[in-house]
Amino acid sequence: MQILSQLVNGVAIGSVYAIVALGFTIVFGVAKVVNFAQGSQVVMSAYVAWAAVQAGAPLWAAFLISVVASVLLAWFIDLIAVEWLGKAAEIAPLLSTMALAYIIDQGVALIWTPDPQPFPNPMAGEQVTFGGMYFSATDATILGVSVVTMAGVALFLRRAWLGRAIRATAQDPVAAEQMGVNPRVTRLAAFALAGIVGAVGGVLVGMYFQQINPYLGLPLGLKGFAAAMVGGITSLVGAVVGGIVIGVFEALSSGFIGPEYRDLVAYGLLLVILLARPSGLFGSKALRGLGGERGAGAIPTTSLLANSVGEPVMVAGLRKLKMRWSYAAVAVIMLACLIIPSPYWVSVLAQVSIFATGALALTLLTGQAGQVSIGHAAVMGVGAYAAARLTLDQGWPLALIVLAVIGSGALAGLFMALPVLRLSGHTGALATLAVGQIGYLAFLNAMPITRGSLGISGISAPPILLIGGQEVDAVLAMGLLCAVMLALSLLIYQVIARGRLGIQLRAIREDRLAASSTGIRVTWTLALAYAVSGIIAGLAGMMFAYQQTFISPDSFKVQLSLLLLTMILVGGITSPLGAIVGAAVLTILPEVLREIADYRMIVYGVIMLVMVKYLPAGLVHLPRWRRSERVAPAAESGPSARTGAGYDGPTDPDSLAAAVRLDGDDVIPAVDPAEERQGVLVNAAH
Amino acid sequence: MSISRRGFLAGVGTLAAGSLAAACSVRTTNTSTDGSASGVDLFRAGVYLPLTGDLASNGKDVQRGLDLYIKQLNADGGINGHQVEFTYRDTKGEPKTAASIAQEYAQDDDIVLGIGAFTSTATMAAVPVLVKNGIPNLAPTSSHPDYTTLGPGLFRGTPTVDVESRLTAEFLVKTHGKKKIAIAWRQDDWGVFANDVFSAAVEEFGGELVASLPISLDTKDYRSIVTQLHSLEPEAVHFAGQYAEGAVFAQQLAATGWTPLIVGSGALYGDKFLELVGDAAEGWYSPVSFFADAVSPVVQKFVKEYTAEYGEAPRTFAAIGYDSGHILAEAAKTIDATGKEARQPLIEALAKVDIEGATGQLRYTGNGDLAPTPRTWLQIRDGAFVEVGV
Repeated sequence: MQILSQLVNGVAIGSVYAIVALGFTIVFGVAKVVNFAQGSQVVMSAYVAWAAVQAGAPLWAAFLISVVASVLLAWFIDLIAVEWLGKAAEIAPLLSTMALAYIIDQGVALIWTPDPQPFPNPMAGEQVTFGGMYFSATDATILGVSVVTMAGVALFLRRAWLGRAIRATAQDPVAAEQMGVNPRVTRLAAFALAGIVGAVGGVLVGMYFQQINPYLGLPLGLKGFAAAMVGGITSLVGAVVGGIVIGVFEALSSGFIGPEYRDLVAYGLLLVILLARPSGLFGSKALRGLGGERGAGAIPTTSLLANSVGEPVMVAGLRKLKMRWSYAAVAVIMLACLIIPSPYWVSVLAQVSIFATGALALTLLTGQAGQVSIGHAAVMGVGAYAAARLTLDQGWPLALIVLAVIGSGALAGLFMALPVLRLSGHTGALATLAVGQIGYLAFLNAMPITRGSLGISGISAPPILLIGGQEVDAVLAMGLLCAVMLALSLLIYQVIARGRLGIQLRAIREDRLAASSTGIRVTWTLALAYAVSGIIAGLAGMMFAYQQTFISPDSFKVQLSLLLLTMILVGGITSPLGAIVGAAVLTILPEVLREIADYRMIVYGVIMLVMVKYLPAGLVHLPRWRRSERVAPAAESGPSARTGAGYDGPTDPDSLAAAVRLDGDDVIPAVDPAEERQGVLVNAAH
Repeated sequence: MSISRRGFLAGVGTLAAGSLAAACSVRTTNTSTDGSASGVDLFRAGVYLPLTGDLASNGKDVQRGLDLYIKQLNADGGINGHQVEFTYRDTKGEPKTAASIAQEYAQDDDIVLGIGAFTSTATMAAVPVLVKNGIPNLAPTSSHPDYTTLGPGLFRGTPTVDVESRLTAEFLVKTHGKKKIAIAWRQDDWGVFANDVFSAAVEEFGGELVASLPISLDTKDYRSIVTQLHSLEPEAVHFAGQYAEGAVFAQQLAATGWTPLIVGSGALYGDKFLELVGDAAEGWYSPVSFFADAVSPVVQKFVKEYTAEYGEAPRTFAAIGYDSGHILAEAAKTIDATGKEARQPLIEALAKVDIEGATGQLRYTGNGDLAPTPRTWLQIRDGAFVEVGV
């Protein structure tokens, strides 16, 4: 009996996920943009509808108003993430939609207060009940609307002229344009479609929970994501089925394993499905090109650092910044710790070192190996918990703890690599998101080890910093110790990046197939990169635990993973100096912005957008980039021209492997960009 | 395009220079006050609460209560002639940010007391820094049992949740004679503690705990939990959670048509819960420390002034914030100092506080914990909270 009830519960919440997932699928299918702001868009639509009802409009009119607002917002997202950012790297829309999500969420909270609001549901109370189970009119409506929306959109894409134009543009923009299709119009139409679906989702989500709050966007968005991925991110049928599959698994696991394992099972399921079918349950086979070694040949590069037409983008800085600059930066941090009399700023500097270390772990993965991780907070957490327990329970000396943290960090990195290795591009990045969520939930539920949400308090670093038998001022000691760990991590990074392994990683980043055919063992090499990245992230976690003295699962949520990723993008993705600069900017900025708390996330979001647009190679490349602009005022003609003009040529053989592919006009975009797009929406018309 | 890029670069430069200037100015203000801390005629407390993020509505309640008390206090001449001022900081609910704010306060010699944070995880990340610098901390809402053990000078603004959990167990098993009991608890430090105490107390009073189900904070859907609860057929259910999820839980439970005896947490109390839940929580009980219709003159004064100031009735967290302001004022009135010099005397004075607040008689038991306050039993009848005798 309970099993039947839980199935019904699963289908009900699953339809909610499905309607959010549909929005993702449409945007991804048309613009190949992973729209992180989808959840926020749904929530904003719900708020607009609610506000209209408050103002006296009937629900149907409120819905229409919400549709208009949502379409306008969708166009705005298109304007920013697609139009404005243009040929930026694939990873740019990810970042820019994330920035938009911050802006939308805080905007909603500012306009309509952070309080939850009751959402009207005219169908409330209408349901069939039997035993402990019910299926309400609202549930039926949501399920029905999901299916009808899915079918309607599919039909529109298949039959209507505009729908076919949208598909044609998605497959081959150039050819479509030659056939008289205006790509701008079709994309606006597609985003309008996503906006309408977002508004429908907003109203239905509001009716389901009979309550809305401004911070529903992220949890809802993550589940919608998971649903879209499970179904196959290009398939409309997949979005609905994926939503329901996740909903049912959640309900069953909640009922029969325990409510605390609900999300663990959901994200675990996502990983398993990605492993078994990287393109999802209904994903097109053509999309395999985005995942796995074999399919890689279809695309000039499997790297997220390339743009949507496969051209390498200036994200990868070309002139190799010597490692000594990074060490110099560490020296500057240490010197600043010694000179600055304020313990407050010294502890901010300690945090800069910690996050720089964490970001460095990503530089190794993303900058060198082209793997994007949105789950590194969990790896940091493993290091932090290991250090905390060993310090408190065993009282080990620091040297031993560092070794233990290195060991556990490497294991955590390998664990993350396990599902991710077979994937690449967006799929790989989203799999790391799932791993990160699983890590967070594990910290929350492994009570005996982590004390769950109670957290571990009173962690203090083993006393090693005795100079002449006298203890150094604690804040200063911590600042210096964090900087030393950063230096140690730089050393590890250097050993990896400068050696043979570094060359192999960069070769894999550029072209898995080519790398594989030259005898590089792609899987093993990447696994090693993940392990080393895990070691560095673990060290960051260890210092985080020592510096904060208190850790709880709250400290290692997805927001931290996103922050680390933002740091390397802001600083510069291929250079360790970029990690340090990015960490410094993004640690100090919130401290300075704290006075304007209410608008902080909006300002933060705007700064992120501007960075992605104008400084794609990161702050560290600022000086050189200016010079190259002088040499080549025709920077507009594309990234290749820009790279060509400003390129000094690598002098050391190490960076040659990376540079050859990136060296401006010598790059032959051997493959028709259309091929990469192929199948993106073919399948959407299921 | 290239012009706008140059323009942007100039912008970045200005921004960088600006932040640097801001950073420096923060430092210089602080160092300049070093020499003349007592010359400042302000009694300054650092208040750090979640003012944005998903805990913002609770944080803002505490903030409003605090502001209301201090506004009146300042209008009446402040503390020994010193106006009280708060340096507000937003923790976003993040422990990391709370720790960083604590460093900022530690830096500021004008700060006498820290007030915050909201969740215990954020509080406990911040207080080690405050303790190290001799700054006392008053945590209006933090319920973590370990909090007051982290050092001297750590005080609570409200008794821990165990008071409420024990009373609820007694109410269900003894008063109502229910044998099979279940609890659904919010999966944070507050809920973990509530569940521990409640589960033990149910057994102690002779009841049987048939289910203990955690409610994940990221899950907004509770139908599976309702179904599971129902299948275990408890006679009574304790819902240990906050009002936002409480409303969804109540609606999804009511939809099944199953009506066990339900006791919610005291945190449900307030108009917002009634507004969100509609008629789905009819008959629910709630033990509260603050009840707006209580006869106590302190409560009546607070409710009247709060409603006049903010145009809505206060919730429990606002009352707790108001009482925290009261505690601060009561302790500080014996001290004739501000800034750094006032910290140690304030710790000693806080320990002696014994006041009648809006949330009951608040008296410290020596280590910063408060003596249990009595609870008023409320029941939701016809869409309103009404007092019931037990």
